[in-house]
Amino acid sequence: MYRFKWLAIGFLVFGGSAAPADELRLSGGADRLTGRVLSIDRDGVVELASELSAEPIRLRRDAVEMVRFNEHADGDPDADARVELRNGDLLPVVVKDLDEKSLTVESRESGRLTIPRDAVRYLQMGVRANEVVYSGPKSLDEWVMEGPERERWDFRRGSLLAEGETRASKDLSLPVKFVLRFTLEWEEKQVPGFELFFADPLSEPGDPTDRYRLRFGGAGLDVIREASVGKRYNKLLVLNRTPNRYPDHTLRVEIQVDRRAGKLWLFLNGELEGEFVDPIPSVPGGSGVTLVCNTPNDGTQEIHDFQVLRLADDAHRRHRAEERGDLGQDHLFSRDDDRWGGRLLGMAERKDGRVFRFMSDFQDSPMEVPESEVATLFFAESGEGGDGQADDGEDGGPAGGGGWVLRLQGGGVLQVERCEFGETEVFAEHPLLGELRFGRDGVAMLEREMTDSTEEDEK
Amino acid sequence: MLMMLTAGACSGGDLMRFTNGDQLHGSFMGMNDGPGLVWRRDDVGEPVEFKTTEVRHVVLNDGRARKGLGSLAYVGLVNGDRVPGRITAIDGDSVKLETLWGGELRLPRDQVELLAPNPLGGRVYYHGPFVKEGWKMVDGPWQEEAEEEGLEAGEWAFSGSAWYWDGKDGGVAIVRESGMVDRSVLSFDLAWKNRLSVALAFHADFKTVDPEEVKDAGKRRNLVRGEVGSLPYLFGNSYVLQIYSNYLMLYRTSIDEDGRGRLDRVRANNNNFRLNEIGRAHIELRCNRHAGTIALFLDDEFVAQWNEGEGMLQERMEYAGKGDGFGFVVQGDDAPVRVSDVIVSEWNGMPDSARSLQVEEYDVVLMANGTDRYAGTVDGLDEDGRVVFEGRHGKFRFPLDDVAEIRFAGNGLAERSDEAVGEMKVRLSPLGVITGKPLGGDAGSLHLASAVFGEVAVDLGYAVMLDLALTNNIGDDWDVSF
Repeated sequence: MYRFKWLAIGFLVFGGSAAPADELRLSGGADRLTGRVLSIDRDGVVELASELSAEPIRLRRDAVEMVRFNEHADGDPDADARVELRNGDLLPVVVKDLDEKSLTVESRESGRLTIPRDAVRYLQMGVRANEVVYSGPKSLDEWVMEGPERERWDFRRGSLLAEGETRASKDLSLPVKFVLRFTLEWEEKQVPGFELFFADPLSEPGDPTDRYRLRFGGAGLDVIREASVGKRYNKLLVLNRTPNRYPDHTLRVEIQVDRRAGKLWLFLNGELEGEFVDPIPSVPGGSGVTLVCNTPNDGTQEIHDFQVLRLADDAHRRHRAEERGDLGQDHLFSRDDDRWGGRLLGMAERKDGRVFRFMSDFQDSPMEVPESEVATLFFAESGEGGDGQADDGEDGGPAGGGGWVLRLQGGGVLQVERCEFGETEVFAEHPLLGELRFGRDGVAMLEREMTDSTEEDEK
Repeated sequence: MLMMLTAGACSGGDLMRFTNGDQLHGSFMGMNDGPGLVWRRDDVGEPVEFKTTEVRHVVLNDGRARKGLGSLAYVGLVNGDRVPGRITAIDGDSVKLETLWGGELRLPRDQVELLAPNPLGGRVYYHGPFVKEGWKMVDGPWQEEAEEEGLEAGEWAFSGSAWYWDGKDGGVAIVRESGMVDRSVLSFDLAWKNRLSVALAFHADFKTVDPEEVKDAGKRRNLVRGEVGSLPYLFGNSYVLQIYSNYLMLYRTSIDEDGRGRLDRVRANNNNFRLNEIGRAHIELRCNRHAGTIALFLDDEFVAQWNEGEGMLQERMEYAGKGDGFGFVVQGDDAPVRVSDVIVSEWNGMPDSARSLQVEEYDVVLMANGTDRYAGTVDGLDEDGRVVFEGRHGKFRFPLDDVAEIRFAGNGLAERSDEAVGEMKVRLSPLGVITGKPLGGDAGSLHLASAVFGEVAVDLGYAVMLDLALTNNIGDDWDVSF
């Protein structure tokens, strides 16, 4: 959707000194300036106040590729909804109201916005970051280590260090749906040997039990489902990820588990390696983990950045992947995966909270769905775009010269034609929303967007 | 009775196969109480009665129904039957159907698993196999060389309504060169003995390679019948899904301008695929050429999905299946396989089958638009023939024409019982399957006693096959010739 390209050029005049605030990356990649962005006008000229120059530096429109703003606040924690606009722009917001004509939202960065409904592609409700249940390791004492095993453990600078063969376990109160993350490091020229048992009831070692095991060593990585009844070990995933694939001897592991659905997802170094289903109907109900280290020759392994999070509802991801369906209708998805097509009438206050009022073609009167039960809304499209395929936003950029992409704290992304920067505020012109005003500390980054004509010039 | 048969001297278009492997062309004349099956041949003076216990199946009129049902609508029963007909009433106790083949039927509600007023979301482009026509066997450019080395190719054999692989060295495919559309559902019943190692090709264009070109280019050295590298040379530009007992692998296959075959694995292979132990499964593949989505269902449960055309720009792949054909090939040795009940239809885009959304407490309605779905309770039909539905957020009335499927709550269904001794199945074209005990009948009508809806006179003008050797044991159900 957003295309960026390194551009030729740049002229720079240096001198003086001042406390740096913002970082500008110039075309070519290597050049950078720091200072305070004063303005970006309609022609894309960036005005920068820098300690390096007595006068503000004016950089022509194609000189700046990216601006990173170093004074920023955290994202709005109350913004639990996501609006995607017709041109692909994204805003984290709090939904204030919805009627036949417009959607009213609010966020700390943008304040209150009234968005025409025909500018909205979809709305996700109840989007929350995964809640952290445990973050560590914090000490040796919080782990259960039997007798001589303890001797082989050490704790240093937030890491558990294991020498040779040893084990430790901990009840982490794993939720029904959880994310488990950790980083494993091993010594150079050593072969790691590591097992993680999770959803572990922490029963007596040796007895068949219902739990999962991830194992990583010289032969690669696998995930097993151990069962207390029937076949004991059931392979879920086998990967040829041998240690030599990780030249920095570090492996970041993330496992997402949805015990209600019997599904697991494995990520290694940020890459999704697979989604798999537990074939055994009764999923493990344990709440603990067990670490088993068994490197040859008493090699040392290190485990750190160990986190457990509550896995947030992924309904939005599923719903966004669905067919758009009838573009002339609104579509409402509940958290239970019901999907209705019809007309979204608006929101209303009721005794027990707010509701979305929706009129299906198959009803005599509108239904009212509590806000807490609504996951996703697709908005009807008026006029163009009747091919049933959602546009990718490529044609939604500003007309004329190359625009900018504003990246907000909390994940918002907006294409704007013009930005002006004041002491505390940013003023921007948006093709769908018109004039916008942001708190300056709500903007994380500004990136240059290329258009086809500019790309042709570059060729 | 001694029958003097003259080879070729029969005018009937029906075929009867016996449990011992014998077969007889002729005309089905009906069934007697006994039960016995009456058969006529021109070279035999009088019709002959055969013991039904010795008959495996009868294919009627070369597998083509004489009359068309005109609609795909059916009701699915707990026992697996698909009862074609138009729903006329629903209440707490029963579902009433009006059928062309059997008149009005009353089905106990707890025996009804699903209502399908508009199943599959679209047209059926193929259902079979009831005859061999339209299918062909495909070997690759290694054929000549293999024969020179004395390696004989195995063959697919057609029997009844199924293709059988005879278990020799794998590598020869059985294919249909057309039938799929851009958004297709391809479903079939798969049965196997020993280890399963079968590959399914879909959206295949069967682009061929001149063997001489391949030979001259010296590319032949890696082409071996039955191995995975042979797949592009069998199916051309296609997708090929390899199915093992506990593993799946999806490939893109292609043939470039130089005649080189290429094989690329499609990411998101799923290692959680588990086939049951009984040696048979129902497999359904849904593929959308435009959206690049491919979804697999096993026994109506969602198993895996692949998405071409998504992801980062540099990772996006063009949909590799350039054709409209599909086919099967066994890749292992001594791995007998049977493929039957193949249905190719248009797909309405529904991402999940209703079966995989089925819950114990709620009825699930899937609409024919391919997107909308509801969970709640079906109350019945109103005076206008609309389904009255109590959803979790209000009451709905759905015209039957707008409903694809309704799956009833699992906790209201009866337990499935095994087929009773002496039962048979009548297969109606294109989707019907009716189980019952034969009570008698003639060439045009067969009286059946169904355990679900009682006695019915089945108009055989709508039928394509009579299955008499019913069993859940895959060994008994296998044609002994193979």
